[in-house]
Amino acid sequence: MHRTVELRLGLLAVIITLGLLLYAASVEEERMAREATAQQACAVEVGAGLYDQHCRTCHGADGQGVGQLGPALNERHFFTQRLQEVGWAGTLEEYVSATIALGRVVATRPLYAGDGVVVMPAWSQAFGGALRPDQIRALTAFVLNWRATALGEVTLLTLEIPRVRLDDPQIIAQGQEVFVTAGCGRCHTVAGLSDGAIGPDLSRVGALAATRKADTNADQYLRESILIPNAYFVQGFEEIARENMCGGILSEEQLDMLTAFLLSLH
Amino acid sequence: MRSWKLLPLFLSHLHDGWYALKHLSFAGINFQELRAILQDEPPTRHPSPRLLAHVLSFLLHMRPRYYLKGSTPFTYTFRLGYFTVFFFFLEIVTGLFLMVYYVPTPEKAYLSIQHLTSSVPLGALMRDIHRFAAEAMIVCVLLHMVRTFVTASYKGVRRLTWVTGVALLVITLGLGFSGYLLPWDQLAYWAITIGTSMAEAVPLIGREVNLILRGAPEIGEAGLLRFYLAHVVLLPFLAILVLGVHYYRVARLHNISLPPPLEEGDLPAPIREEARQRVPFIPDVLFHEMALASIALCSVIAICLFVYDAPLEHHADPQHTPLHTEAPWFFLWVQGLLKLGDKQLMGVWVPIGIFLLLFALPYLDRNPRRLVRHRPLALLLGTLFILAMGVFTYMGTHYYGIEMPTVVRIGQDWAPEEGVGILHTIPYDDLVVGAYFFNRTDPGTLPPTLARAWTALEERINAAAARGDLPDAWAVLLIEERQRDLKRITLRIGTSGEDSAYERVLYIHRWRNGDTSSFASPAVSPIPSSWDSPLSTPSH
Repeated sequence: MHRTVELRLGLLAVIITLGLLLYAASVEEERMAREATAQQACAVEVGAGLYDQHCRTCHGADGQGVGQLGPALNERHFFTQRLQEVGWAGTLEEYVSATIALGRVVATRPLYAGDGVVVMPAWSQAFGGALRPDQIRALTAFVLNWRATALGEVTLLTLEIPRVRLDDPQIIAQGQEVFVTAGCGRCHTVAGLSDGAIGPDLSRVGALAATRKADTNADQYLRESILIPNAYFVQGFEEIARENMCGGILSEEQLDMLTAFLLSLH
Repeated sequence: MRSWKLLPLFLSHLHDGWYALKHLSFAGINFQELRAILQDEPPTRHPSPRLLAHVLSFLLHMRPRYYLKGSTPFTYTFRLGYFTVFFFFLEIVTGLFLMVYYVPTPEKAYLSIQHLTSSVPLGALMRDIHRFAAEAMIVCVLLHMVRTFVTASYKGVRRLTWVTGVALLVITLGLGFSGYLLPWDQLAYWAITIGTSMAEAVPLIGREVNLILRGAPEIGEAGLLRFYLAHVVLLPFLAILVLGVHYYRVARLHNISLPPPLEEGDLPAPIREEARQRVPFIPDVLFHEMALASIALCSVIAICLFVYDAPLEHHADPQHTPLHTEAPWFFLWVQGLLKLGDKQLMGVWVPIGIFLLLFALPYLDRNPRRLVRHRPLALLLGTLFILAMGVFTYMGTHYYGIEMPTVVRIGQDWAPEEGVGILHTIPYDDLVVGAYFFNRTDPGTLPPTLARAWTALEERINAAAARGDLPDAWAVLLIEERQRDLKRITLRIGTSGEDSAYERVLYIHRWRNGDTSSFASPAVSPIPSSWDSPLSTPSH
C-alpha cells in the first residue's frame, strides 16, 4: 500500500478512535446505571432460589411467616416497624444481612418460639453456616424486594396450586404412614392404630380441631400444633407438653399428608 | 537574609537553565540538529547525530535500522508477530487499569468485577478490551507459529529463535489460563478446576504439583492469590524477558527471513537483488507500524463497544458443578485428549510430548531447504498436526462424547443456568401468569412470543416421543408472580413410565437486562379448572 494512503488511514483511525471514546464516555453514565440495575435484578433472581432452598420452611413460601416458627417478612410491619422494635441503628438492608449472617441465638421478640435454644441459625460460612457472602447479599436483595407487596403498593396475581387435596384417600393413607414412621403414636392415641398416653387422644381430632382456637380453622390448627406444639395447650396437658417437646422433623409434603390424615379422624 | 543576596544564586540558576536548554537533546539530536533536519540541511556534526540516534538511544536501539525489502510485504508475515506484541502491550495497559479495581480474594473478586462494570467509568470497556485482546493475542501467536512453519523460517541460524517462540507460546497460554480464573465466576472456577485437575495425574509429584498450583486441595483463597500473582507478576516478567531474547534474535541478529523463493528459488538476479535492498526503519517501517497500530486499536475499541462482551456468569460455587464444564478454549484439546483415555497418559504425557515436539522441531527437521516443494513430508505432518489439534479441540467441547438425557437437553435450551435460554428471550410482560399443559393449552390464547416458545417446546417433546426418547411424555409450564417484577417459571417434564419428573425452576426479573423502561401491568390467563395428573405427580 502506498505510504501516504496508509498514513491517512492511520490518521483516520485515530480520529475514529477518539470519536468512539467520546461516544462511549457520553453514554457511560446510562450504561453503568443499566448495569447496576441488571446486577441488582440478578441478585434478586439468585436470592429467590436460595430462599426456596433455605428459608421457606420457617418463613413461608411467600414470606408470610410460619406460625411462631419464623416471622413474616412480606408484611408492612417488617418494613416499617422492625428496626425501631429491635433498636437497630443501621438500615434495613444491613439488618437483614446481619440477621442472615449471624442468626439469632435468642428470640428478640417474645412472640416467637425459641425458649433458650437457637432460634435462627447463623447462615454465614464465617460462623459455621452454609452461605457465602455473595449469597447473603443476594438473599438480602430478595427479601427487600418484598417491600412493594408488603406496603400494599402492588398485589400479585396468584396461581392457586393446591399441593395436595386433603380429602384425597391416597394422601390420607400416606399421612397415616407418616404418623406411624414419625413416631407420633408413642405419645398420642389413635383408636386402632396406637395407644400412646402422654399426649391428647387424637382419635376424633378431625372433628375437634376446628373448635380448639378461635379464628383458627381445623387445617391451620393442626399444622400449627405439629410445627409448634406449645402454641396451644389442651386442658390438662399443660405441664406434659412443656416437658415433652416433639422433636420430629417433617418435610412440607409430609406435613400436608399428616394434616390430611388427622383431619380424617372423626 | 536580604533578598538581593539571592540575586547571584538566581543568576547562576538562570545560567544553568540556559546551558541545559542550549544542550538539550533527545537521543543525541540537539536543537541545532533538529533545526537542520527541519531545514533539510546536512548533519551539523560528523558522525551524523541522526545515525547516532539509532545507535546510542536505547528506545530506538531496540528496533533494527532497516528491514530487507523482500521481507516487508504484508502478505508474507501478516505482521502476526507485530500484532502479538501490540496485543501484549494493550494487555499491559488495560491490565494496569484493572489491577486498580481488582481484589484477589474469593469474597471480593466477583464483587470487584461487578463494581468495575457498574460504577467505574469505562471500566467495562477496559475489561472487554483486556479479555478480547487476550484471546486475539493467543490467536496471533498460533497463526504466527503456523506462518513461521509454512515459510520454514525456523531453520539454520533461526533455530533458537523458534525455541524462544515456543517458550513465548507456553507463557502466553499460561497468562491466558491464569487470567481465566480471576473473575471468580462459575465459568472461571470450573474451567480452572478442570484445567488443573491434570496436575494430580503427574506421577510421584502430582499431589505436590497440584498443591503448589492451587494452594490447597481445592481452588480457594490461596489458589486465587497464586493465580493472580502469576498473572500479574511472574508470567508478564517472564514474557518480557523471553520476548526480549526472541525479538533481539529476530531484529538484531538475523533479521526477518526472506521469503523462500527469494532465498533459494530460481528468480532472476535483479529481483533477488531488489529484495535485499534496505527499507529504513525510520520513517518507512515505523510509520507503517503506527498506521497498523492505530487501525488495530480503532477496530478493537469498536468491537468491544458494539459486539464483544467479556462474559461474567454467576458467582463461583464450589458446591455446584454446572452442566457443561469446559476448559478455556485454548486448552480444549487437552480435555479432548482426556476423553480418549488414561488421565496420566492423555492429560500429562501427551501434552508434554506435544510441547517438547514443538520445542525440538527445528532440530528434528534437518532438511535445510525452505521452498514448499522441497519439504512435502514436513508440510504434510504439520497439516495433520494442525488438523488433529482441531479435532481434539472439538472433542473437548460438550458436543462430543457427553450423553445427556433428552429432558435435560430441553431444560438446558429453554432455561439454562447460565446465559440466555428460550424462556429468557420472552418479554417479561408476555410471561403471563398461568399453568400450561402439554397438548392441552391453546397457544392462540397466549401472547405471540410465549405461544411460539410453547409451541416449539411441544414440537420438541413430540419429536423426542416419536424417536422413542420420551414415551407418553407430559409437560407443564407454570408461571407465577413471586414478587413485584419477579416471576418464577417451573418447567416440569416427565414420562408416564417414571416416578420422578424432570424439573427446572427459573427466576426472571423484569429488569435483568438493565432495561427499566417497561412498566406495563401484567395480564392473567385463565387457569384451567382441572388440576389433575401432571401436577400431582411427585417431582424429585
